[in-house]
Amino acid sequence: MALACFKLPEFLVERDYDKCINCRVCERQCGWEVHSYDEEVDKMFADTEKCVGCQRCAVMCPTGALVISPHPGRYREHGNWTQEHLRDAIRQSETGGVVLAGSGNDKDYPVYWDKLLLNASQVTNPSIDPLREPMELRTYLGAKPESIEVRDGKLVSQLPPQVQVETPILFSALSYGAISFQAQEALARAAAELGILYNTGEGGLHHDLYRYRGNTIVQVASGRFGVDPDYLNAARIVEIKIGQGAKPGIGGHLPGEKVVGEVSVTRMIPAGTDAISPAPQHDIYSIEDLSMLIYALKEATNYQKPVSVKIAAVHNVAAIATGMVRAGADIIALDGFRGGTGAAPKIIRDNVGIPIEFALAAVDTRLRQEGIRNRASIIAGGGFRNSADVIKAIALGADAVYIGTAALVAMGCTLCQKCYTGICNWGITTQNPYLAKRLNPEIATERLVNLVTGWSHEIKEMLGGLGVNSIESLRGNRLHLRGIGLTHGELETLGVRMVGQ
Amino acid sequence: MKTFTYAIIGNSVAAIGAIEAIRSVDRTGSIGLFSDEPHHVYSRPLITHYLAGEVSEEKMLYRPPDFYERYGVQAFLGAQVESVEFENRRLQTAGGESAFEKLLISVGGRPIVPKIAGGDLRGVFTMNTWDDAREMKSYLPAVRSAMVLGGGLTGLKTAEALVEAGVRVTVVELAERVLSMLLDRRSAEVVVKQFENQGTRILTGTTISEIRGGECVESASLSDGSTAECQMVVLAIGVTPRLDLVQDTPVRTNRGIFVDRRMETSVPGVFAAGDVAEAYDALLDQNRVLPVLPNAYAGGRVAGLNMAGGERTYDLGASVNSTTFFGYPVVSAGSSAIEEGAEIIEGDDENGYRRFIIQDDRLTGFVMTGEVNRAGIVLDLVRERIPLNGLKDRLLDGIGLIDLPEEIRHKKLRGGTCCHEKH
Amino acid sequence: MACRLCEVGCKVEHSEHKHVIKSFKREKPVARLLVEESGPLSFATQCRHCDEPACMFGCITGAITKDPETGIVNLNAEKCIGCWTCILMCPYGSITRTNGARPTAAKCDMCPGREVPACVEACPNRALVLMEDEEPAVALEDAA
Repeated sequence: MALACFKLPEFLVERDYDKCINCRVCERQCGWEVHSYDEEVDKMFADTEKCVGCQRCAVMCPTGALVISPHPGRYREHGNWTQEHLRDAIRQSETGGVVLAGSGNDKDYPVYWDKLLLNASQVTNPSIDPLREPMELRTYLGAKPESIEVRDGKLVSQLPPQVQVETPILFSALSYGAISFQAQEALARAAAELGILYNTGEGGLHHDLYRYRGNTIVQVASGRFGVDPDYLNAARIVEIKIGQGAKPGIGGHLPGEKVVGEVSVTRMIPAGTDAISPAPQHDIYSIEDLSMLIYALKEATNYQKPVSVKIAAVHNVAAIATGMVRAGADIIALDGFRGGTGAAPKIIRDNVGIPIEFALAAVDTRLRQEGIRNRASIIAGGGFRNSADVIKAIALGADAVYIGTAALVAMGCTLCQKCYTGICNWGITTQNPYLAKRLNPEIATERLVNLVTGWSHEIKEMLGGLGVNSIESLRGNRLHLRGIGLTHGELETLGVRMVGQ
Repeated sequence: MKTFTYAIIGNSVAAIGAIEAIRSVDRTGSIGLFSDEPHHVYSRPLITHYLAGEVSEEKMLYRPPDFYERYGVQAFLGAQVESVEFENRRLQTAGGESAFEKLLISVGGRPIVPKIAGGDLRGVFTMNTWDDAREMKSYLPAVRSAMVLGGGLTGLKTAEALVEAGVRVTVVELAERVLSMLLDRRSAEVVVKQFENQGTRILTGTTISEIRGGECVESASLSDGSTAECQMVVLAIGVTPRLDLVQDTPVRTNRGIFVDRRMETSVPGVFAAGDVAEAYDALLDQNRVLPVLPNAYAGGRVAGLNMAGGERTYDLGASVNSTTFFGYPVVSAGSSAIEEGAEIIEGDDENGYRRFIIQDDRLTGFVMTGEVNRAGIVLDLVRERIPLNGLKDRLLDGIGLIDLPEEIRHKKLRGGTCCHEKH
Repeated sequence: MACRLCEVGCKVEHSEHKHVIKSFKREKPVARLLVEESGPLSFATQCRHCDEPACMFGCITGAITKDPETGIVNLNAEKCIGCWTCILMCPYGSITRTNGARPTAAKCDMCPGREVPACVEACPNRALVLMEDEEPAVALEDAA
């Protein structure tokens, strides 16, 4: 403990003893064991150093006696050495390890959504009132043919498999193992209720969730966990996971302690063994290899399901994407550097990858230039915070978006970023039965449905303002966007004009 | 002559249990209730509390003043039933004759009065009715010290009431311990301690041999040869079923009126319940007289339902008792008094003394003193004969529903009814 | 999830001051329901308002009654003398004792005057749900 004195606590737990009634709810609710009751003095105490600032206790306290705030005790301010740099260096000096983190890149990089502004109709074209006129958010995911043939008013061309979604917002890959069963069940239920899709991640599909097969995207990742014909055929879409925005280029590692019970069954690996997802897919070293896997999966699913390929947004994303489309991908899923994770080396999370705004624009532009944009849908993910982000992404070229962190927030997540510890006071990123049962799937489902419904309403309002009555009419229409405070280079890559032009 | 669909003799707990049961299925059939006591139905166990001055007249009532009216009962209070013609279905009171279709006899018990020299002096009481308590209460100003003969429940509760009324009390019990029907030696000691804390002497293995005085009680001599000054003697050595009405009739009696599982006597249509009945004890698998209130209500209820045409059986095993002595709780159930012939788990700590009697991996009785919360869950183990398995080790810590086997717990929690009568 | 906020809610509702801080600081309110825990399993138990309430059958004073209209089993503390027979009779262990000089039995009264009982309202995880009719009055679910 000699070196512990180097570490300042991150959070301050302040208890108003005039309000505290010693009900011990905080003690029972803190998985970090911050709070304790001392019988002798009949008082609650707090071990401030253990606090991760998740706010569970403050929210649950029936008298509002608790305030959790950033600890005012700070190392001497330094323009270069931030508190975080200092803290991480001190921690690593103690452990010699890699600093882990959950959630997404939280650094102060520019958020380009906030530098893009939407248009609205005035005088020369009418806006549409979504409360009075139909407004279409439904869209279809999957490859579209070059042309279609219609005879006697009937479509005679054979279309590649299409997946209908009622609003262009999908739940991104969150695996059982990374999140609790309760959390995944809520995602599945909400997807079913909303007519959208959720994504199993690479953790397999729990047998109890097969009933939501109509709303499931299953992943085939480098570890191939839980993959078998039933799994593939239970899905609407099969997604090959190449990369993840929070940790491009690296794999995953679920420690053996977490591979217990149902997690091990669902992942189809022995209990207690580490679930290692290798950094690359070991059978994919080229576009040709990817094509082999894509077609293997299409064969396995009798060409009934679109195959998606998910990559992290990286520097040459546009070139990679055209290769993926030519390899036979029906859907390109792009994950920007703000995308979340259950666990990643913090240094990777915060320094690798590019913003989704650029990746999306670049890919959409390149596919159009090559005349193959119709051959794949694009799903963009990584840091969508509200409905404006979503509609801007559609205008930049996305068919739909993936939301992960936003969905977690709907379920209670406060972004304490401790997902990698397996202790989640909100019952989301944990397999601890004491903690996991805090998440009532019924409530979480309602909240997810509410969030997506609310966003969808807002999207309709914004579409109406644009004078557009269908989300598909907006897709890739960058004329509805203007950039503010962006360089010419940025505007050019985004394919967006400057405000005022 | 009035004919009642249902006639009920007696006006205590079993009678009320029957009336409430009858009215739950039959709203119109006429009910006639006959009681030799002149009072609206009152709570018999409260008479000692009344004596102590803890309970007012109005709170003595077991059911609200409009009870008979609301339940459509024609109550003949102070009307002693002198005889019953079971063949003709008639009963006679001083006021006349009534006919009935179904009859419930729930006349309770009467105190056993031992033959003791001086037993007819003023100041000698029994404690069984509200009137007994009233008389005793009005006699209290003349009393500085009292002797209670009998260390059973009535004796001890009366002693407690007298202490609370400011009287110096000595309890005399012939057996080697108090409450010998309910408690084992150690738990009896716990009770004795409560009395000793109040300065009350409890003498066991002895009895009153003579009560002395002129017109009124002045002292009492004990069988051990000692004599103590006292102005009151309470005789509380037990009660016996009141069988006068069924003597030399076709109604079969043993120690009490023998009833079957439906609480019906050997005469069809005639039922008995409460302290007068000798009903089935499922725990012992035999009939016995068991004068405890909850069983009286339950028995009356089963009788009532059957009188009204239902089919219910009385399936309550185990004697049950819960009381306090000077605020200190003591509960017991089942074979709580036995000393040997069973596995016994006991514990004694700041929460009190507790004792569990186990036979064939089933709990057959227990005693809890002090902390008695959730004793009902334990009683249910006895009554439902739930195999203990691992539960045995948890008994002393206090059993919760969560400790029960899942299947039983679910049955209990989803069931939503808790009466043990079998449908 | 064993936060026991239902107990807090119940205590406040059945206190004199009905104010979460004041009630706890000035009184020693007793909860009429109890959260039981064993490992990760936990649930709240309270009166089932039985059709045939053993507590009422056993009550020596007539303090316990069952409302024929609502089905609620009520306990009149004024009449209760604290003999604890009801505690012995209740197979759910759902009757408790109040603190104070003259302790009486206390049990769930379904919070008269409230649309939703305080415990149900206090539950942050909808583990306590009010259910009517055939089902037990307040249903207990192994907290989700």
